[in-house]
Amino acid sequence: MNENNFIIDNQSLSPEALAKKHAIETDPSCRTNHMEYMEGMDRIESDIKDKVMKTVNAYDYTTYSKADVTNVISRLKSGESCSVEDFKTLLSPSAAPFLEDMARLAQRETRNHFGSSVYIFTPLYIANYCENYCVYCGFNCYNKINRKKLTFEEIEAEMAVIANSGIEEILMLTGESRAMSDVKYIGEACKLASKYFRNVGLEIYPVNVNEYEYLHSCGADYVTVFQETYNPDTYETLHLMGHKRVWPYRFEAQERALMGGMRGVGFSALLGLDDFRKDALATALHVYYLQRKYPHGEMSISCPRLRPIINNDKINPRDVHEKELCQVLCAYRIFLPFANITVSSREQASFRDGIINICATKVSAGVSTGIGDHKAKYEKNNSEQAVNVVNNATNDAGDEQFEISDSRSLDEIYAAIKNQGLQPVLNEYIFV
Amino acid sequence: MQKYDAANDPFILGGHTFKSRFILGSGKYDVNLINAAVEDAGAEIITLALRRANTKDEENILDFIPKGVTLLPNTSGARTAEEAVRIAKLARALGCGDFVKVEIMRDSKYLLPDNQETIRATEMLAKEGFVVMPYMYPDLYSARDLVNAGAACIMPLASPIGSNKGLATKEFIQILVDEIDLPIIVDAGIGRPSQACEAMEMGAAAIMANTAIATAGNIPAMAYAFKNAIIAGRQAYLSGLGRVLARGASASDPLTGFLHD
Amino acid sequence: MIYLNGEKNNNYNNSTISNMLKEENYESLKVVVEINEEIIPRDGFDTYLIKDGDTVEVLSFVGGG
Repeated sequence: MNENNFIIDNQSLSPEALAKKHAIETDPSCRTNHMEYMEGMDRIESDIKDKVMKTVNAYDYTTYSKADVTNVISRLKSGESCSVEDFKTLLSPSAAPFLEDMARLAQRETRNHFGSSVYIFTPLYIANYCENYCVYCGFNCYNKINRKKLTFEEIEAEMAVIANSGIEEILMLTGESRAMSDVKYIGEACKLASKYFRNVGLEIYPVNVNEYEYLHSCGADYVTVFQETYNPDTYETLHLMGHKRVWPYRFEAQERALMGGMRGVGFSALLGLDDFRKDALATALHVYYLQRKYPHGEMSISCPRLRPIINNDKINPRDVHEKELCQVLCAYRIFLPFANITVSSREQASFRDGIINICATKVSAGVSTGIGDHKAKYEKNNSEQAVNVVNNATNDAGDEQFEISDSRSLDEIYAAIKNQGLQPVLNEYIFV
Repeated sequence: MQKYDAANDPFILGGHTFKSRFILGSGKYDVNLINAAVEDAGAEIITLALRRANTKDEENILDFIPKGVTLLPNTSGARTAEEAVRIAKLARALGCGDFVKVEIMRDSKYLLPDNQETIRATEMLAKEGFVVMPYMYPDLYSARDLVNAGAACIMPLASPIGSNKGLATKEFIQILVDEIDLPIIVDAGIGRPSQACEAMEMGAAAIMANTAIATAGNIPAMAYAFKNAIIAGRQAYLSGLGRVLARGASASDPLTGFLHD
Repeated sequence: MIYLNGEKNNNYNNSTISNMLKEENYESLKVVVEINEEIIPRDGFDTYLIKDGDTVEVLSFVGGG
């Protein structure tokens, strides 16, 4: 299992639709210019893209030696702060044998900045309609899955179930379809979420500054947008159609969100899509430069790896094994001691339990990436006989974005954090 | 062996390029000091203050400063932004270029700079086309405000002016070096070449000093020592510092034992 | 009567600045002149007439900073 074959066919498409799909997949001239903003997209004044990509393009991680790594580690141990150059060294293959040293340094930074707190949240997918064709994603518009958009009554019912489990921080997600899940719909969902949760975050398609302002006024305070890959050439070959195809507009989403008054923003590359070391460098520099420009903004990083999706169970994170993921996360922590690091349920329980002891500060619990199936899934967790009833019980639900690896409930995650002598935190936030 | 060559490491300030990273303050001056600073320490920038003129019979500092040296008038004596602007404009009328070091103090005992007024003055002067070099107490928020106000560099103090006490504000200057994209010029309080060297190792772009050299036993020799210390620190910074050996070892259970595949 | 560098002075009503500088023994190339907080450019020294009541400051560089 190594190189990914993302392209799969969907037999239920009409011959015309199938022809279009094939043309887009095989003929680059059928695709739009991914570096060009589409009509209606804000174009903000910002030099952050250029700064990040200049360093990333010049990064040759093969030039770092073991001696370079021991030098950096010894200086960091003595209390020096981590420079961009140091960070590049820690991301290099030569640093791999020093993972334990890096873990200790990362743990020190985590404890200095976060104490032993580990924050818990849950994602809530409210719609899975999508207008984009991103070949690796289960929600892509050509993938034959059950589509669903929750009504406000259904959203509220889901929220009640989740809130009842004890969760206080929610991350609301949609597929990326302005037509099916417009800003107004998401805003109303934010207003509902504010009734049930103390902290509301969004992971939706990128929007303009005034729309972020509006969503903030509805109660959202955190915005996460994954760049997926920072390599524009690779990005072009993976995001074949739709608004998401526009690389620069996506890159600038966090900055627009901060301009729109959001308190915090989240970043990520989807590790495994491209050269993960370069994507990790780009992600961290994106955070680094944005933090310098907006020092009040709260920054957080996620670190998803590719996962299998419905209709394509072969998708895998290629060369990013747990050790490489751990190296990236330790380097993130050492370079960006102030940033929250979220490790999602894409990773298995043993990894999540281990990594919160080193550098992760936020984990999800009671996760479903499907639409409208919390009630069924939460009840299943509470009932021993109901194991196989789930699929039947959720016939009506929208299908999942990807397979998760850690399906533990809030109670189980809470206990696992406590068992390690760490402090689970459900919330310590005030919306202002 | 690699010799340090300033030509490959230009110091750019307000669009001007300098080879030297030493700036001479001239508060305590005489001919000897200025000669030593220019000839032995390689200074290319010398500060000046503006005062009511003395008559011709008395010596004028401009007579001692060789051609080619950039004059950096300061606004000493100013207690408000408006006064600083007035002084800066007067200095510019004397025909010494657009550089100005903003120095606003409202405390005659410690002579500490007033950051708030300095930010205001910087904004007003930058709008008037000055190359503004604000002297400040090393505070990150103020430094960011100075950047936004149009400063050409940031000049944090190392310790109280004239005290020769060295890098008392080291941790905070390091924060400015790490976080601010403009040159950080450490000003005030540097008492020894080793302190100048340390500031340069930390990533400071240049050093400004006066008392340390002016009050030395042998002024030219001390000026020369400062020059070398600044170059040494700069070269160390550019080279990347070497490793630091920790004493003892810490044995405990591995943190990374949980990793699979 | 005018104020010259903070002191009362009765000698320069209707005098040019150049004349005042010469009489007071200043080197005109090394000073800047401000009258009532307005800087007088050097090329105006020969024509600008000092009026009764003016506050005149003559400044030059000294060591400092």
